[in-house]
This record gives sequence, structure tokens and C-alpha cells, in this order.
Amino acid sequence: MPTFKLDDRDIEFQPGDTIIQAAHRAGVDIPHYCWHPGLSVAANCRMCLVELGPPPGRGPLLLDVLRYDAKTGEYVKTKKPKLVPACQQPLTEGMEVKSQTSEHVAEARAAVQELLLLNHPVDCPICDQAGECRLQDYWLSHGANKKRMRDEIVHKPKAVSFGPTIVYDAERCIVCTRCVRFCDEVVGDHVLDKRERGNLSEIVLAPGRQLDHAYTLMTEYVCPVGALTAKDFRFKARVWFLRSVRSVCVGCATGCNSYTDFDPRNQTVYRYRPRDNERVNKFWMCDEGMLDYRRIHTGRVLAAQAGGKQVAVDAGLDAAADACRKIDPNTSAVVLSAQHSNEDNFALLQLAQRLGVTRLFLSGRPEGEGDDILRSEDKNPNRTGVIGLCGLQTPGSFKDFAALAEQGNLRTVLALGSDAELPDRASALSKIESLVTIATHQGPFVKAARVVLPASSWAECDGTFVNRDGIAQLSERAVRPQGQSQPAWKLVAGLASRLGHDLGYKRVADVQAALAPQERSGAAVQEAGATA
Amino acid sequence: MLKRTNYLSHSYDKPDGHTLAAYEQAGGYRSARKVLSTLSREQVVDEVKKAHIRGRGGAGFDCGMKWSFMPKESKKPHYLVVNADEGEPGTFKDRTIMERNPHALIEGCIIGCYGVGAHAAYIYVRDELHLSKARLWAAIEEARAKGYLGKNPFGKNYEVEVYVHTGAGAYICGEETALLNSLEGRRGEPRLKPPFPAQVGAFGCPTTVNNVETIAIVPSIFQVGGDEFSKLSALHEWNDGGVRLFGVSGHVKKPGIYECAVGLTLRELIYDLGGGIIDDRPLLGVIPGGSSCPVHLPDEIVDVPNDPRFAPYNGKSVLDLPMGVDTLRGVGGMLGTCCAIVMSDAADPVLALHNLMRFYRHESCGQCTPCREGCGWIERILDKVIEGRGSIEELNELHEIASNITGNTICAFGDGAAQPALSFVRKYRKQLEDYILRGGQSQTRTLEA
Amino acid sequence: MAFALSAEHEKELERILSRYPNKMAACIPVLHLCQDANEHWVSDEVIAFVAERLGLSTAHVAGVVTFYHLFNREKPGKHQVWVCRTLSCALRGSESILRHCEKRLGVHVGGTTPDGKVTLRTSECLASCGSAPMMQVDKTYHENLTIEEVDRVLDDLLKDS
Repeated sequence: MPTFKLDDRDIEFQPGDTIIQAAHRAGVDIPHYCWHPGLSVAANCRMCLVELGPPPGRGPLLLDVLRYDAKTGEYVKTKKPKLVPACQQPLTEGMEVKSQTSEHVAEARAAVQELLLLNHPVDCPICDQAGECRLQDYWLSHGANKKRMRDEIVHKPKAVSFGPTIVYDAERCIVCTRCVRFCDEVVGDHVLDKRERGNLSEIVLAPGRQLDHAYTLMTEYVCPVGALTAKDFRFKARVWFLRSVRSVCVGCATGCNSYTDFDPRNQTVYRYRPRDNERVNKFWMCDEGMLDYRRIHTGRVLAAQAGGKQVAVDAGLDAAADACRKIDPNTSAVVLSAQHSNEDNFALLQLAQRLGVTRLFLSGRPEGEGDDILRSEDKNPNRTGVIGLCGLQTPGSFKDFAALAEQGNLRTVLALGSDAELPDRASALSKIESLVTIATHQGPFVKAARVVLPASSWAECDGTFVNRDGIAQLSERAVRPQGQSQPAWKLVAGLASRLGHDLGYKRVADVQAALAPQERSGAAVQEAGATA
Repeated sequence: MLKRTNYLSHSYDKPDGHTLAAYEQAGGYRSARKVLSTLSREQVVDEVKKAHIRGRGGAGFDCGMKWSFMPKESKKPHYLVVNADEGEPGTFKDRTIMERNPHALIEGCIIGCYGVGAHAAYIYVRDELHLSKARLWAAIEEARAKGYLGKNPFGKNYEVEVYVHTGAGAYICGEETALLNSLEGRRGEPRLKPPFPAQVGAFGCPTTVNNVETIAIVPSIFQVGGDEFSKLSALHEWNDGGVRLFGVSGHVKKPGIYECAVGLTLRELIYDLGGGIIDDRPLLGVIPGGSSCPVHLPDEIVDVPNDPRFAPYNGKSVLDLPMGVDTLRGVGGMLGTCCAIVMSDAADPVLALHNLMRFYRHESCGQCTPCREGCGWIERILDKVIEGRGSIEELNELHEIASNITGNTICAFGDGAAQPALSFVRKYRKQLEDYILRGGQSQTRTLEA
Repeated sequence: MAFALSAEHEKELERILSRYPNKMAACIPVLHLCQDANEHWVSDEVIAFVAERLGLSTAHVAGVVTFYHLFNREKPGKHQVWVCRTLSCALRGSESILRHCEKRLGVHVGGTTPDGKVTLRTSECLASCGSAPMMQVDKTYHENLTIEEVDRVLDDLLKDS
């Protein structure tokens, strides 16, 4: 592989790479605002200017400039190198690039930084971007100078609603056009553009339109400053109080890699952010997925129920065990969940095997809208995983299950999850004599159940999900189990032991160890890529 | 060296000079006929190279060289785009061609299209020039009626169409890639280079962008021969050939456009052609070719010891240096469009600088941070200086801001905006300081003579 | 109310389209056409019309309209007067011309006379430096201006009914 020199470090590059691309891949940050690895090059912020060594056999390209000597009151002739934007300059073998080690670069970047803040309101105390704002970061690292322009700034529209999800503040905007390019290039919806020119420039929403496509929250995500904020997150939390874990979006079968941002003090999840993964979601997530974190705290089953009454989990497990003791393989079934992780489903499969139940079904959330970008019509994160776990015995569909229940042929059913894939067939569940449901959320199965056991959600325990392309991905635990809930595999293990079967699961690692090696092979944690 | 010529301006005084009849009577369209009937594309480019036409739009790039960058073979159509977005303050020469000799431009387009392998030329005229547009459309119609445009111009199987395209009020569209964006129906924001227009220009196709005067003078090259044409210039040895339109405006007695051989001096332009300064006052300064060029003071002396070509001029006043692309560049100036703005000592240089920086703030496209914010900051500082609220500290900041715009933007507008700021602050620092320290008591506080 | 062009203007639109290899390139000329047909301004309806006819997003058209200063987003007076104020004109007295226009019309720069007849504006360099000072009235240049000449031109505008 060819290499180039960035400051004093040799870095490999691929033919066609720009300086910033190769540096980014090598984990070196060249300061930038407008460049984004997933978008076209705009080269308008001028923050990534670097100095190039002279091409072989030629002198450096120098510009004549004058410096004012305050002592003599004279202007002195001098030269400065012509700087180039690292986002635009293609690399050649042996190229020498100075980023951190050039005084000219330092001066130019400090100037750009000062100019970006020239007409900025500096309202960090009330800005949601504070703490993860490039203007703050680069201000600190590029001079940290006091503002020299003490006059009134150029005023522009503030708190403009762009649609159901996004609010725009033109005064905070640095017109880097990332949001415009994202909508154009990734979504293919030219709903944003620039208006006016010069220092009156701002982002404009298409007249007669709203920013309402399926990926609007990504405009906020790519915005390097506080110009675009998400209505959902505005004024909810300060980012420095939040902690992040690497998670996988369970909103659909795509399995977009995400960060779950939560406040450890109140054990509340505040948002998802995309986590770069070239193979799965590149740099993006859809609105549906981004907002799916809300399900962690809404519609939950937080306590066990038995005979219509709330009971302790142990009592619930006892009641469930009572129901299962009478199990007759001919009139019983186990329903697996495409919403739950491999770990949860595997544990349930093990119990089914011990109990001799052979009728397996798979349910999940109903189908929804999909597209060619990220969204799958299958709104379940682990259908592929569960089918894989079942091996040769492909589980039946919810439709088959409902038909069987409708006929009154099911007396005892052990179900994971509360989702009826065909909501209009959910009434069949009432025909089941003894339904034990292990569920995170309220739903038809919970409603019809004799015994309900509260399961922890994906954010409360580690779990492996296999996406539509067969890629197994680990999602890490963010917050503690909510209410009385426990991981579903643990509830299953508790139920098994009451029925005289020791599955041997004490920790999630025990379940994972028991999972077949091929299911786990792809599940190596996707290392978090450097974010743009 | 003052040598008046009339290759382009022969029709200027005739009331019907813009018509085809008058143009043909003066020998018009013979060059195009000759080129299309007898020369190959390569021969055309070679001849234009010999003429050493330095781009008349201000950058001074060699026209023949530019044409030679166009691909020899390509699957995509080629385009010739004529930059008629004249709007550089002080510049008003292209308008005279379009209004009073439009057929020279149309004939130039025919030869130009042939030279760069294009079958269509777009003349991008700023919208305000309504008479220019009307004259050009009329000329196109006349030429088409005669069969000079269309499928077989002059019987040659080489289709040429010429269209007039309009802008809508944006100085930046005079920058060639901004112009291309505007031609394509986009915001007139300059594009990143590379790719250069010769590879990816209008509509993604190889394109040559030339100034109106550059194209309009092309027929004259084939009238007299490339080399002969170049030798009309006093700067033939500097590869700066031919004749061009010189303009002079501001505080002169006879402002206007004068066609002369290249190599005219500023002194000749101001005092001989321009008739001298109004009220015979002393000269305060002159901006040689549009406001983006540094200003020159009358007492500036040529001092370029390291270049033997400057030997005849060293020690002389800048006003006596022949005006050429490389001569002015050598003394830290810029020839630009060759249309000088003259200020007598009645003019207040601080107000002049303020006037220009207001212009650049108003016209910055706003893409690049340094130019977008820097121009605005400079204007604000000058606002304060003029109102008597400025400080020496801010004056130094102004110079620093302009320095940091220089070379750090996508297009040359940034440099063009920084140049007046840098040169005025350097050369009129005393007057600026007078405003700051004494409220500008000793200044004229007016621009009018 | 939706914007539409007259049959004659529709023909002109087709002529414009025929000059370019794609529809987008017609954006600026078509906007001019529509603005002239819409009392000199580009309303949201005009933007929607142009976007629809040229197959563009309204965001694109809005971006273009606001970039170019000759497109008006608000209805101006029946006549528009632009006084050039850039350096060459300023050196020849454009400031006095402008002040005089303001006084004569009774409006500040940017304003429209109460009868809606004239909007007064300033303009950056209009390539008329050798015949400064100058002003543009609608589509006509008036050059080498004197105060008397300005009065004559403005009188004609104000008389026009």
C-alpha cells in the first residue's frame, strides 16, 4: 500500500483517497466541519487546510504577503505557502502533509475558527449541542482566543420548525451544507437548500414542504454545530451527563449499529445515535430507529402477574411452573420472539426441549414500511437469528399459531414477547387455556396470559441479534432492569429449575457459551468506528 | 507606448455599427469563413496561441493555451461559454462590444466553437445589460439568416449555435465555475477545481470559458495572422500580444473606452486618453484594472532587480510601466481588466476603501468561511472607522483578516476582495489613522471631485 | 392562487427550454419570464410553478431566487430605479444622485412611493463606469446623469399612470 507523511507519521492510503479520508481511516483527526465520510466534498469550511511539501523537483507554491511591523510602522514583505483543503486534495505516494506542525496552518485554522464564531450567538448555556459541538472543541484547540468583534452580530431566524422532528437556528449555522448534502445524496430528497448569499446565507426548507422524510434526524446528527436540533432531545439532557454503550437498533431487521445514550443517575435512556458500520448502516439511522429508544420506557411490563393480580416475580415463576407441569406435548406450544435476542430465544428453546414441546412458533411485530436505504419491512431485529437457532425445525408462523389456537387445540402455551404479528388475529389468544407470557411490553399475549413474567428490554441486558443479512451483532446493556423485570433468559432458567431442569445459566455469558459456536462467530462486538 | 487601433472599435461611432451589413462592409465574417473553409481545429488553436491573447477578463491566462486544454476526442459534446457577466467595478468594456459590435463576438464564437470542438456557444450576459442582450440576439438572428450559424456555416458541415443566457444579479457569476453553475440553473457558487472546466464544465462536459473581449478579438487574429497580431503589442516579448480595450473612469476629464495596442502606460491612459484629471488636481491613486487589483500611488517606483526584463523600467514611476499581465504582476500589482479607476486628491481613500469593501461583502457568495465572514467583518470595521469609532487595533485586525482570506478560499473572489483591503491599508494607512485618531479632520470626507 | 403563464409566455418558455440540454438550465431565464409576468416579483406560487415545470425541488428554486438579487421576493413598485453606488459612480457623484432621488420620491433606499409607482434601490457596479453617474430604470440605462436629468426621468415615472 502506498503511504504518505502526515506531520511526522507515515500513513497508508488507498489510491483515490484524499488526505482527510486516509487520515480518518488511520484514526487521525484533521479538524473539519463540512467534510463527512459519507457525503460529497464541499470544501467550504476551510478548517481542514493543510500545508503540502513541494512536489518532487519543484519549489513550494508561495504567496506574497505583507506583515505589519507595529514597532517600525512598516509593512514587511514575506511569503506564505498556499494551503490546500485536506478534504479535497488527492494523495500521491510520498506526499508530505503538515497539519499539526505548520504555523501557517495553525494561523489559518485559528482565523477560520474565529470567523465561524464571529456572528455566532455563543449561547452554549442553552444550546443542546454544547458538549459535543465542534465549535467548542476547535475553539479550545485553536487558540481559545477572546472574541475580538464586539459589535452586534448579524441576526437571523431562530427556532424555525423545519418539520415534525427538527428545529433550525440560523444564527448558530455555519452553512457547511452537510444537512443539504445528506438529504440530497443519501435520501434523494432535495428538501433543503441554501438561501441568500454572503454572511446572510442560511439553510432554507423547500417552500410548501416540511422536512418530513424518513431520515430527518440524521440532519441533526450530521450538523456539526447547534444549528439543527432534534425536537425529541431539545432541553431534555446535557450530553456531559450521559454515558454511552454500543448497541444495535431493534427497530427493524437491518440491525443498524447505534450508541445508546443514557443518564446513569436516573437510569433513563435519552437517545440513540448511529455508530459507523460500513457493512450495515454506514453512518446513518432512520427516524423510526432513532426514536425507538422511547419504547424502553413506555408500555412496559414491569411486574409479574398471576390470576389477574400483580405478584412478586418468584410467585409468578411458581404460577408459571404450575401451568407448565401439566404440559402435554399434543396440546402445547412454545412461541419464540423475533423481537428478543438469541440469548433469550435460545434459553426458551432449551426449556421447550426439556419439556418435550415440539410445536414451535415465531411471532414479532407486524410488518411496516421499508425502503432501499436502511429500513426493512420486517420490524423485528432477530428473525434470522431465531430461525437459525431452530435449525432444521423451522418455527411456524403466527398465522398458523392463531389458527391452531382458534380451533381450541392449544391448552398450554409458553410465549416469549407479547407481539401478535397479525393484530387482527390476536383474539384467538383468548382460546388458550393456559398462556404463560414472558414479555418486555404490554400486548396481546400479555393481555390473554394467565401468568405474565416481566422481561428486561434490549437496553437492560446484553443480547445478540442477527440482522437480515445474517450478521450477528452484540448489543450492550445500558441501564439496569426496569421495575421487577429480569432478562428473559434468566426467567426461563428460573422456570426450568422449578420444573426440575437445570439449564445452568447464571450469567449471560453462560447462555452465550452454550449457544452454538456458529451462531456466535459473527457476534464479535463490532468495534466502534471513529465517528465523523 | 500609445498606439490607438480599431480592430474592435471601428464600428463604435457608427449608428448602425451593430448591424450585419455594417460589420460585413468592414470585412466581417471573412475570418470565420476562412477558418471554417481552410483550417483544421489544430491550426486554429496554433494560430491563436501565436497571437498571445491573454485572457481579457482579468486573470490573463493565455487564450490559445486554454483552448488547447480541451480534449481532442471525447464522447461528450463540448461547449464554448462566453463570460459576459461584466461587473467588476470600473470595468465597462465588454458592454461596448456587445452593444456596438456584437457581430465580432458572434464571429469569434463561430471560430471559438470550431477551435475547441464545440457546436454550441452560450453567451452569459448579466441581466442588467438589456441592450447588449437585444443586440446579441439580433446579431444571432441576422447571422443565422445568412447561414453563418446553424447546420452548415459557410457551407462547412460543422454545426454552430449561439445562445444568449442571462444571469440575475450576482457579481460572483463572473467567476468561471460560478458562471457554469448559474448557466446550469443553480446558485452561482464557484465549484471546486479540479476538475477544471476543460474536463468537466457546463452540463458535465468539456467547456472553455472565455471573456467577451477575448472571443471578440479572435476574428482579428485571422485577419492579420497570429504572429503579426501579437507583434502589435509592445509586450510581444512578454507573450502578451495584440490590442485590447482600455477603459478609464473616475476623476478624469474624458472617461471612456479606448482601443490600443497592449503596452499602454497608466500615465498615457490617464493623461493622454483620459484627458487628465478633473480640475487638473494631483493624482491620489489609480486602480489599474477593476477593483480587485491593488491600488497604485503616483510616487510608486518600479523596483524589480531580479528580472532583467524590468531593466528598462526600474527606477521609473509605476505610471510609466507598460500595462501588461506580467509587468504589473512583477511590481506586486495586477492588470485585471485594463479598466482603470482614477482618484484625484479630492477623493477620500478611506471612503473609497469602504465603498469597495461594501461591494465585496454584498457580493460574496458565502461558501467559504474566510470570505463570507471576513468581508463582513472588514466592512464593519470600516463602518466604525468612518463614524469615528475605529481603533488602531482594529485597523491591524483588518489587515490580518484580509491576509487570512488570501489564498484560503475556493475561488479567486477571496483574493480579489482582500487585495483592495490590503493595498489600501498599506498605502493609505496615514489617512485611515487620521480617521481613527482625529476623526478624519484632514481628509476630504467625500469621493466626488 | 396558482400561478400560470399566458399562452404567449408559454411559447417563450418552450423556446427557452429548447436552448439547453436539460430543464434545470432554464431556471433563471424562466424565473425572469415569470417575474415579468407577475408584477415583477417571485411569489411562492411562482416558485412552485417553476419547480413543477422544470422538474426541480422548490428548495432548489428558492435557493436560486434568493441568491440572485434581481429576483424580488416582495412586490416592488410599478417601476424600479437602481442607482449605481460603486466606486466609479461614487467618484462621479452617485451619492448626490441617490440623495436627490430619495428627496424627490420621498422614500429611502429600498422604499416604494406611497402610490406604488416607483421603488428606489441602489445597485452595485452596472458596467457603466465611463458614463458615471448612472441609474437603471426598469430595463433602461440613464447615463452621465445630472440632477436635472434625474428630475426629468423621475417626473416621467411619476406621471405614468
